[in-house]
Amino acid sequence: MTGARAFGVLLRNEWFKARKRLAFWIALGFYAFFTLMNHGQPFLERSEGFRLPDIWNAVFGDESTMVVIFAALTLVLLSATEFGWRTARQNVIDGLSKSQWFWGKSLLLPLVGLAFIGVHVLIPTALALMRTDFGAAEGPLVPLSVFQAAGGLGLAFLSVAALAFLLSLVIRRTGAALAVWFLWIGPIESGMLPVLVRRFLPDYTRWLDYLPFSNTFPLLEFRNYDAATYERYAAAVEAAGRTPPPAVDPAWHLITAAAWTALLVGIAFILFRRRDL
Amino acid sequence: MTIIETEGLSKRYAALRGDGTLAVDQLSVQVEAGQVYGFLGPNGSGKTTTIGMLLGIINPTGGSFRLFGGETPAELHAARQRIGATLEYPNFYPYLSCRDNLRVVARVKGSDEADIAEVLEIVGLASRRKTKFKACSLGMKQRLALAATMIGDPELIILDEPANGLDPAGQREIRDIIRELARRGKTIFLSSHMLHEVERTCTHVAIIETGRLVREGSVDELTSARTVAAVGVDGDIEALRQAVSEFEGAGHARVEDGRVLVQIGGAGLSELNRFLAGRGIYASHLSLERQSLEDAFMEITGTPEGFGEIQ
Repeated sequence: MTGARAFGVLLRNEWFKARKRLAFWIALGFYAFFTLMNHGQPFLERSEGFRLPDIWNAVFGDESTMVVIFAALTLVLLSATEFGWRTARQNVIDGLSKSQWFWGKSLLLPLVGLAFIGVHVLIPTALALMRTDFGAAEGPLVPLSVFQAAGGLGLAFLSVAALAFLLSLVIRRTGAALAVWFLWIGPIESGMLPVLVRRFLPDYTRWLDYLPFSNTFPLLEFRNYDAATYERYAAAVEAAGRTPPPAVDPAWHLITAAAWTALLVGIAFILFRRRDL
Repeated sequence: MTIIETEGLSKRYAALRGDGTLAVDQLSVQVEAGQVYGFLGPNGSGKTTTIGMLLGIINPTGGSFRLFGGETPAELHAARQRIGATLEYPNFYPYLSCRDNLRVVARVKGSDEADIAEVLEIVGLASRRKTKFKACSLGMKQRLALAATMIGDPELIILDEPANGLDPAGQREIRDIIRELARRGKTIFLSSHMLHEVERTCTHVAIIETGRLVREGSVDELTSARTVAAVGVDGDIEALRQAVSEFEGAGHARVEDGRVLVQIGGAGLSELNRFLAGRGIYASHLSLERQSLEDAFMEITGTPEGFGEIQ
């Protein structure tokens, strides 16, 4: 089993195992409910900005952090259990090479990402469509910057999920992998490391923005992809008597996210190949 | 044709301190096509580690092996497509049904999903095909594992303790399936504690102890090379066993079917009879019998300690 056929088999098997798993649907359903609740109030109140194309600023924003976290949690759930059940070992006994098993499992990163980001984008978009006056809309309803923001969100998810994936394969226990992952994105990356770097390496503080989780924040904001949205945002902040933060060019953060993804998945691959199942 | 060939195969598990554990030590065995090969050894002797190395889930730390003549990673990967195997306990997705678990296996093996109905029929799970694995009894799980090994009609079937934890009826079912596979001409590599069954089913055996090969050969060679004395008495059988144990050159004496069986080395029955009479024990039965595989195993590996699951 090689090449395209192997890819097809691995993809079909991973999707088959995921779609038959109740935990996957519960996690996705819970996120769909969360998204619906989040956008339900402005939808019911017919809020001013709850229509196309204004909705994109609400779709790609701070709340996108939740989709990254939910999807990464689900990824750990779907990958670490293969070790507890010893099905990873059985898949190899049944004829997959260890490399094939690894790459098959890594297909969960885009699969899970697509499912959760799909829910994250489609629910508010569908609601906003119902409130959109197509005759009155100025400019395209779905500008190019939406695709850029969606790509940024996808890459942000991949970089954070790659860390979760690495921990799943190294620790091989769902609870412990999740605990270490939360420990990293919370107390370590957002608490301990900044304190240590500011104290002992003050010249390097700007590099903190490029750590796996911190690097995702600029990628989640729609205003970083859309100049007009940034101008509106800056004007609103100024009107409130505050100084707006400068516009962030997401290019370096996109490159960094891609680099983190490649590095973390690469380390996971090397460690997985070297260890016994 | 040689199906499995290991040369000095070794595995040392790393430890934080010291040299670690040498689980398999310079193991060299050879399995030919069509053989039903029993792989025996006490608990912790390295059987599962050896099978794990053959199946690609454990990385060897020394030596080499060939499967179907192939040795390179690509050749071994291709060879493993011709193997059906289970290792230790049945490992399946608990939330999937028996049939869906076999679907996953069939896809991995590149096999037709039509095989699934056939193998479920063979192992007697056709009517339980929709039962989730987590709801299966241990016997059903073992049978499902056997069914999985048969998907894709493999040439070599490797079974590691396929009847572990089963009641006598379950063991009998598993034994019948293995015999059927052997009858179909499959090469079978069987690691088992069921020495009586191994003796009845296998054509060849290898015995390993603390990771080293201590004996390899046909079952006939192993069992006919030694004879045991069977001694019966109308009185206290335990006193007889005790007395026989003290006979010069006697091996491990055990009671079976109301008789004491013992390896007596070069001595004859008349000497044993005289010895017992000298102790005031008069045998009601005295004969030489071919040694069972279990006797041979006990003699080769020493004591029965560490082999607590003989069935």
